[in-house]
Amino acid sequence: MPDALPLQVERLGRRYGRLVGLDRLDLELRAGECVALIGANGSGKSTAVRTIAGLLEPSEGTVRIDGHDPHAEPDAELARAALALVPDAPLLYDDLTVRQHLELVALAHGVAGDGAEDRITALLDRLGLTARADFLPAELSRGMRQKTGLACALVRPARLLVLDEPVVGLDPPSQALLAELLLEAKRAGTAVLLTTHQMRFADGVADRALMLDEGKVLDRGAWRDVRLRAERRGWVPEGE
Amino acid sequence: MGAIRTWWRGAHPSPGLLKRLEPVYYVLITLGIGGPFVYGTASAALADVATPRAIAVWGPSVALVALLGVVRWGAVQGPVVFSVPDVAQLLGAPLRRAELALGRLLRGIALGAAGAAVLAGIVLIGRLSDGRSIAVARAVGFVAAIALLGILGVAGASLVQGSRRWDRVTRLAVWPVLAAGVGLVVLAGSGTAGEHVALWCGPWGWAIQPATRIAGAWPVALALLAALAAAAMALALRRRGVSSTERHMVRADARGGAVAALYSMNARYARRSLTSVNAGPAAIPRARLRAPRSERWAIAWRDAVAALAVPQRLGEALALAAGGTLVTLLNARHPVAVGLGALAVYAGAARLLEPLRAETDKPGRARVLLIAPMGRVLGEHALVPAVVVLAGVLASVAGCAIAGALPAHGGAVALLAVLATPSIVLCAALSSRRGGRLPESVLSVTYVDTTGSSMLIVLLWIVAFPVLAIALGAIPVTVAAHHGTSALPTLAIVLACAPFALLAGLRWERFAP
Repeated sequence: MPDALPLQVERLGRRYGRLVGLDRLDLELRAGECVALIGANGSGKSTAVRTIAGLLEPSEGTVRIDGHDPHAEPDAELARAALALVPDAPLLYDDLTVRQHLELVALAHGVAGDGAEDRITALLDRLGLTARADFLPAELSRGMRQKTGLACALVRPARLLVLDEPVVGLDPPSQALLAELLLEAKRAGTAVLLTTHQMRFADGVADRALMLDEGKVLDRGAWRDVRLRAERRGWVPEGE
Repeated sequence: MGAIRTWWRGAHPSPGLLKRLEPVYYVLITLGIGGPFVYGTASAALADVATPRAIAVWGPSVALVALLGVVRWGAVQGPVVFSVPDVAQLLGAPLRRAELALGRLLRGIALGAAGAAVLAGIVLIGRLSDGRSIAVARAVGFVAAIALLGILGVAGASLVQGSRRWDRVTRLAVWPVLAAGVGLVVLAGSGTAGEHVALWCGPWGWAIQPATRIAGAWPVALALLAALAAAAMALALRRRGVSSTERHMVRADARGGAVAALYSMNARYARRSLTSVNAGPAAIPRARLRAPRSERWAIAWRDAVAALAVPQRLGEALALAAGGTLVTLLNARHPVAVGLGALAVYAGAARLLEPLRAETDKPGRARVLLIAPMGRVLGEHALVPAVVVLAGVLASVAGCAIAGALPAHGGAVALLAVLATPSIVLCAALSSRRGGRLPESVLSVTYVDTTGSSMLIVLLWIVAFPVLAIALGAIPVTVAAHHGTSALPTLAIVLACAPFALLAGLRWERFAP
């Protein structure tokens, strides 16, 4: 759907028994825009991205990814085609190498032809995974596995890129590289939704922010304004 | 999907023909060497069990409960299970879920049918023992019918797996179905008319008919069962792609945990992993229980809070204790029935021992949070289950006494049944204390065993405490029922002393977790 927004969320809620994980979240992302979800542990950031990505069923509200509902088959198939998810812990096959993971994702998303081999090689090179391309996940460090998960998300086109705590386990040069890749994705028109505790990382990529607290939106607006108000609340040390 | 399968086969080159035929070779060799022995053993063991009369009386009930068990398997796993990476990479891709699920569902149905057919074959071995015969058509019909019942069960499991509504309905049906199972046994045992009703009242009865002596109409029952299984399979196939990603993910996580736990021979963790699929948020008791002032009651208070948080479990424990005692009192002269009664009391106690198991899961927690040594903590965890179970036992005894249903030497039998209760509870506590995993000592014995009795050693270790509980619950009662009060003082003294020995074992610090 060319006219549809990459992400449109209305009154999205998720409950775990009597615990409110997410309470009536409204959010829209335009093409090329990046929104950061920030908040303390247990504030609902991961619940939000997992519910948006279709990994958790919503208790109320709607999600539209590129105009499609990720929770209702067969519409969800089109939503999945438009969505790339980088979970907080990469979910990899024990018996597939790094390169085979990328080949499988390209194949499953229908982009295996058209120079996929070159794209995979370039992506491996860019992420510093070339020397580990034929290694199994068990032979990789935490950071390398995280990069493999990131490569799986970037190997095919997506209108919406969702990243849950993407910098955890990455060294500073890799964090800088990730920021660079996200900026490139934005320039190519991909909307980016990420959760993070790393304010400096988000400084470089986020346009807007939502601060969550106990599942509710505590603050929203331009990234710099939300960050400033978070500093005043004492949630972020000044200058961090 | 075809392209992915082709790629997958390329990434995982299949073994050569000889390698693929290896399992067939092993099966044939095993059957060739062990087949006659297994046949002889099964034939001898089942000769008295799988009689036409026993099959007619017990068959529908057993088939009904087994069908329920297979269907409820869908609540924790089900036939369409993906791995965690599958959920991320395949279910996260724009692929048709129905296509992804098809192969797994068909494989599950085929395995369900094959497994059921094997079980039917084993029952037939017993049915043919002692010179009994059965027409070939009936034998084939019986195997086919049980295989169809397997298909029905797997199809049901698939529906439960994919739908919260089916899940809820079958969960609510568990106790009514178990009660219906008991009712079917009573009905089928009441005479020819009751037997006919039990054999015609549903697929569990239809499947049994070919192996009974009921005349004539079993092909009709088989046709009915085939139609029902076909309809269930068609429904399962139609709805195969509707399960949400979240339901697939929790099952994938649970399967990973259960497989890892089984590799380390930890049955407790395997069970916890599987039941986590359907676990809701931790229950909070509606009635607040005031904390005691003395630390001596801390563990009892904690256990009471846990029991009140899940009233269903409390009710089950009371029902099992009362029901088991009722069975014991009404059948005091029949050792098997009395043993089953003791086992029910044991199961009732086991329902309330979850806090004790939680201590063995994470022993460090008790050491950080509590002052008392671990052995004493474990011993105190038996108090609340003992009180609850004893209440159920006493209620049953009182009910029987008021109704005048106590057996001969009823006073002695009732007294011994009550006296045996603390020992049975402590046996359940000792079993729970082991934490569901084989200890290193047992494992090392099985490693060095050259006599081929490793399985027996493991089995003995597993059943040790349930068997001890049955012995302590059944032997005194049966002796008193047969010989009156002559042995009562001795038996009463033994049952009064046994809890002290068992409690010492439970509190034994040296082998505490």
